[in-house]
Parts: sequence; C-alpha cells; structure tokens
Amino acid sequence: MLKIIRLSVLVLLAASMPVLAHEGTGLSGGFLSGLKHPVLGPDHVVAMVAVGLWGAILGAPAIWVLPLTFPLVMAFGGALGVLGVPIPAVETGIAASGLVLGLMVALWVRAPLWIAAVIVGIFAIFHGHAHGTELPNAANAFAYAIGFVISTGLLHMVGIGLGALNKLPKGNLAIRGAGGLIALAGAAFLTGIA
Amino acid sequence: MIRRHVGAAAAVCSAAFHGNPAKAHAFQAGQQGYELFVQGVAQPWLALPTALVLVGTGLLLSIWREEGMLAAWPVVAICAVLGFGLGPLAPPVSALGLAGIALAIGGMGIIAPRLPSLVPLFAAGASMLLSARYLMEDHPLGDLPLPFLFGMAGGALSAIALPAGVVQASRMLTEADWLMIFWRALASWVAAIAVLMGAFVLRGVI
Repeated sequence: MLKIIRLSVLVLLAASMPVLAHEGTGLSGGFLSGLKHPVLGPDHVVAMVAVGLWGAILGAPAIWVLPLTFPLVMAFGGALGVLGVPIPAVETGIAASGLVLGLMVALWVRAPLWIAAVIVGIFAIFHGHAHGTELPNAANAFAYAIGFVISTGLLHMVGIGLGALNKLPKGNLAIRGAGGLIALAGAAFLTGIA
Repeated sequence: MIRRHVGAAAAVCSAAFHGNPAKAHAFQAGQQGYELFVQGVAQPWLALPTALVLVGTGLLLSIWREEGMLAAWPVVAICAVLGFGLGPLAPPVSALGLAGIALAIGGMGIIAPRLPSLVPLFAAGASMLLSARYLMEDHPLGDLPLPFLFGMAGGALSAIALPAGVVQASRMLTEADWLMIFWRALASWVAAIAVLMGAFVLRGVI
C-alpha cells in the first residue's frame, strides 16, 4: 500500500502545473488579493486578532457581538475610503488600535458591552478606510471586497480560538501575554519603530 | 481489506488530480435548448450582486428557523415565476438597489431568530423579485428564450436553497451556540460586502 501511495505522490509531483491563481486578474485574482490584504499587513492582523481575544475574554454576547461589529463598521469605513471621503490620521488610528486593544487583553479589562463595541467600531473605521482607498485598484473590486471581509472575519476567529485557552489552567496568562505582545507591536507601529 | 481500499483510493485520487476536463457538456447541434438552460442557471451566480442577495436570503431563512426554507418555498417560487415571467413590465432595478436589499437581508440575518414570521418571508419574496428584475436587464417581454428563462429561475432558486440547505443540515446535526454564531457572522459578512458594493456602484467601479 505504501508503494502505491508513494507512487501516487511522485506522479502528482512530477505532473503538477504552476498555480496561476495569484495572477491578480479576474474574479479569482481580486478575491485572492482581498483575502491576502489584511493578512499581509501586520498592523491589521494584530488588531483583528485582539478583537477576537477581547471578545473571548468578555464572554457571551461580546464573543460574537465584537467580531460582528468590526467587519460591519469596517465596511462603512471602507465605503468612505472608496468614495474618497477623507478621515484624519488613518495610519495613526490603525497603529493605536493594536496598542489599545492589546492593552485591553493584557490588562483583562472587562468593559461593558456597549463601550467595547464603540471602541472596536471606532478602530474598525480606520482599518476599513485604509482598505477602501486601495480597493478600486484591485483586479475585480467586488471580489476583492468579498475576500477581505472574509479574511477579516477569519482573523477574528483566530483570536476567538486563542481565547479558548482561557479554559486551560494558567491559560489566562498565555492570553494576557498575547495581548501584551499585541500592545507592544501597536506601540512599535505608533512610534514608527516597526 | 482496509489497506487495499486505501491503496486504491490513493491511486484514484492520483488519477483524479490529472483528469482532463469532462466533455459531456460540450454540446453539439440539437442541444441548443439545454445549453441555453445551463447558461441561464449560471447567470444569478455570475452576476455578483444577485448572488450576494440570494445567498444572503438563504442564510437568513435557515438562521430564522431550521425549516425556514420549507416555509418560504411557495413565496419564493411564486416570486420567481412573476419576476422572470413579467419582470420587464416593472421598472428596472439598479445594482445600488440590490446592494441596499443585501444590506437589509444581511442585517436581518444577524437578528433572524427574533424576527416575526412575516418579515423573512417578505424579504425572501422581495429578494427574488428584485434579483429577477435585475437579471432581465433591458430585455423586453418575450425576448429571452424560454430555456434560458427557466435556467435563470432555477439558478436563482438554487442560490437561495443551497446556503439554506447547508445551514439547515448543520442545525439538524447540532444546535451548538458556536454554530449559530458562525452563521450569523456570515450574515454580517453579507451586510458588510453589501456596504462596499454600494460604495463601488456610487464610485462607478462596478
């Protein structure tokens, strides 16, 4: 049996074709660019993971309200960006989001739901605006939008998944540590070190 | 026995990855009707604004109730007949209008379990009617061939039924909280994409 599997793998490898999905054209190109965009920006990644972590710390209903709030408000920010409506200090806002949200996690801040939603929503506008200003250049703008909304949501889920460590003994220390690292990264973005 | 099956499966997988495109749908003369039907089925899926509205509607129905799609079938089917049959008689629907509908449907999907019964049914009917009108574009009544129209109606129904069926099947397996959170998150993504779609239309990007 092992021989057959090895042979199959060899045949697959030998006859594999180059992947053209990253060519950046058409629907698939737009979708893949959108999917990659939040992931390739570390300032976006840390903030979005922090939203999921904070939601996990706050528990229900925040665990789903915050990750629902972020993409929705981010889309409104993105719409402003697409329409060319200026927002001051977008990059500063994005960097500050990592610092503030990281501190919320590191310090285990159990804010009321509405306050948490407002904080997350304000930062989401900055992230969305940054995405929005780059959207029209994508191969297929609509597919790009689908990709980056999904990517954002998945990053929140990563945060929520990491937040599940809370159920383990000493798990909260790991979560606080992750929050501390996110805050440090945010501070580095804010001060221009990174 | 198991080893033999695993070995055979590995060989089949290997062969499948190297398979050439199937030619069964490469129609020749005499297959015009079916080819048109297939083209029609693809239309609601390829027109991204309608795909967003219809998929969002499917999510909404099964988040609202486990058997929400079953309850909505008569409304959706009647609206499909009206929309694709008499659509050209109604004023045209813009992509911006569909973005608004998708935003409303995505928003409703988030709070679907709390919605009164008539709201999801009305939303499902409206989304089918407006999507049909959008897909009919500027074609006058009787301009499009019947197989193509039937195909578009089938494609639109499948765009609602497929996500609705997936959500319903998952709910039959488990009523876990995390699963419903996931589906409601997906509904919020529909709303978020709709907002961006509206901005693109206003900007003239799509």
